[in-house]
Amino acid sequence: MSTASTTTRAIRTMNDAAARNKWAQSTAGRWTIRIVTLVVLLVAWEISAADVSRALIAPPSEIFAAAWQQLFVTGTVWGPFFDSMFVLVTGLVAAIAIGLPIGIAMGRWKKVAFALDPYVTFLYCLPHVALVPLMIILLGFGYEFRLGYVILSAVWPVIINTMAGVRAVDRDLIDAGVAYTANERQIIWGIILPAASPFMVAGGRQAFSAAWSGVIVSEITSTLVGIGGQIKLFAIDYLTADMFVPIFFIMIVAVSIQAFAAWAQRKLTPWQVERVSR
Amino acid sequence: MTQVATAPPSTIAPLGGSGGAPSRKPAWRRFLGNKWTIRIASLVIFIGLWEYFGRDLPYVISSPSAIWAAAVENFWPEVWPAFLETLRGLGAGFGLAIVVGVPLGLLMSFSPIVEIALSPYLSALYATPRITLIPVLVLWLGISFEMRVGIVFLSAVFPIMLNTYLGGKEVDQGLLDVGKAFRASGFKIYRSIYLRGSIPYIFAGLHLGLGRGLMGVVVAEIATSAGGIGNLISYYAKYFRIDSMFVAVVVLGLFAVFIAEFLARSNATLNEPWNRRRKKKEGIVERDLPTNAQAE
Repeated sequence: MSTASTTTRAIRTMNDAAARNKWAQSTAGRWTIRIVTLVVLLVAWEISAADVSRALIAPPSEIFAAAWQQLFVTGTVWGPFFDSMFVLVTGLVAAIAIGLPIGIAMGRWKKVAFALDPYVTFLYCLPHVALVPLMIILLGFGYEFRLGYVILSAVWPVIINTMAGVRAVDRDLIDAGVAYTANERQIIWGIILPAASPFMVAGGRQAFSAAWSGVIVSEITSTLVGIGGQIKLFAIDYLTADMFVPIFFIMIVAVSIQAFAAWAQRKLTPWQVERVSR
Repeated sequence: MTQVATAPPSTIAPLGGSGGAPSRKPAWRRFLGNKWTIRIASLVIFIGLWEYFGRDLPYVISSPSAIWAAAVENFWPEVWPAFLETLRGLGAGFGLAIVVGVPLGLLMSFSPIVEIALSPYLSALYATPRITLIPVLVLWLGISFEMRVGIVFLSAVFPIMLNTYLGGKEVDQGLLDVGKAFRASGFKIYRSIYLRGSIPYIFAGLHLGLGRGLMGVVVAEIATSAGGIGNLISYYAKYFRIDSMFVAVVVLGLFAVFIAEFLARSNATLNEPWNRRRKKKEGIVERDLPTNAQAE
């Protein structure tokens, strides 16, 4: 890391300091910098929030107290959380179950792709939340609506990645299969699915994050259920400290999902790590 | 959220010619296999079915003819002004996100200390669904234009920052050394090596950011009642004017498709002249692109 040449003097100075300072690169140095930043941020927040109305912002100390209360004393955060997780998991499974066959068909047969791609392009680009009012009319306010919205959010990455993966399968492999008189089913199960699996895994990884967003959007825009609904419930009552607890909870889940999905991708398709993730 | 930034499927992997080997097949079969024939036939069937079933369900799925009538009646007086309103919020927030995100991202790639300090927050905020922040923004800014600008800003700034940062890290060390060896000035190195080298990444960030910004503004409009096209959609739905609602949805969707296409094209023309080689890496930068289908 000897990036010595930079633009302005300020940047150069900073860089030199860091390059000279091997300490900043070491594990201990890294963590010191991180922890110092965190402490500075928390203290600044605490001080700046001290004189502001509690309806607008709560200092970190009160948020910690509220979190302790919600997590361990009353435990009110767990019910909505598991509710949301249930929708997340079922929605993700359904999105994959729907998306994989469509993606394979669109990748394998050009005519299917031509017939479907106007809809896929339109629905993929459209901000999905625009369909929330329609889906509420069709599906009501309950579990069906949330499940439907999660599928709508998560199915496109699956379809598009699977399609791209099937199209990227080495032509020679399929020709070899044809030469040995493999039928269409054998070609799909024996050649295309294994060869396209890294793309499918990558699609599943994106779908996972998209599904979590979908869960939260569906909860905030429809009824006050799940962990997303908790935010709005507390916001309505101006319980700002309590409101930040589900917000941080959702952030933590989002980060864990990304980390878990990246890990799963490395485990499932280790030979693709170089290309797909970094 | 959707990754609107990904090129629409039709451009991901060109399907080659439109009908297979044309010389051997008779003309009518070539015509039937043509992609536009299939697309149009598919659309006609879809619209026909919708019309057939929608006639009896005007308050649930409406029908294409009713939607057309509603479009003629409502497009200019209601849908268009709301759409412009949404665009204003999107433009202001996106501009702000560029102004803040690009310099911060570059700073992170220059300075290891800033990088170590900020990267956990950047990746956490990048992953978080932005809708969680809407209630907070409503508390701080009210249900207002500023709130919409704020949500677009928050949706767009993190992808822009992250990609700029990664782009700055990817700048070829050899080029920097050559620049130094020939005693290029700091500004020259910045402009000719850093900025040019990271433009594909910055562009990928803008691409993702614009898509997420659009998503953010519509979510904010639907979740609160801040005006704009999202609000119009939920207003129409509330009064069961489903036909008018579809007009707004279609306008919004076509705009989103237009943005995606436009950005994909301008990306190619902008970046190819001096960055043909980099195209492969681009797929990696946007972490949520389907691997790198384009690079194949």
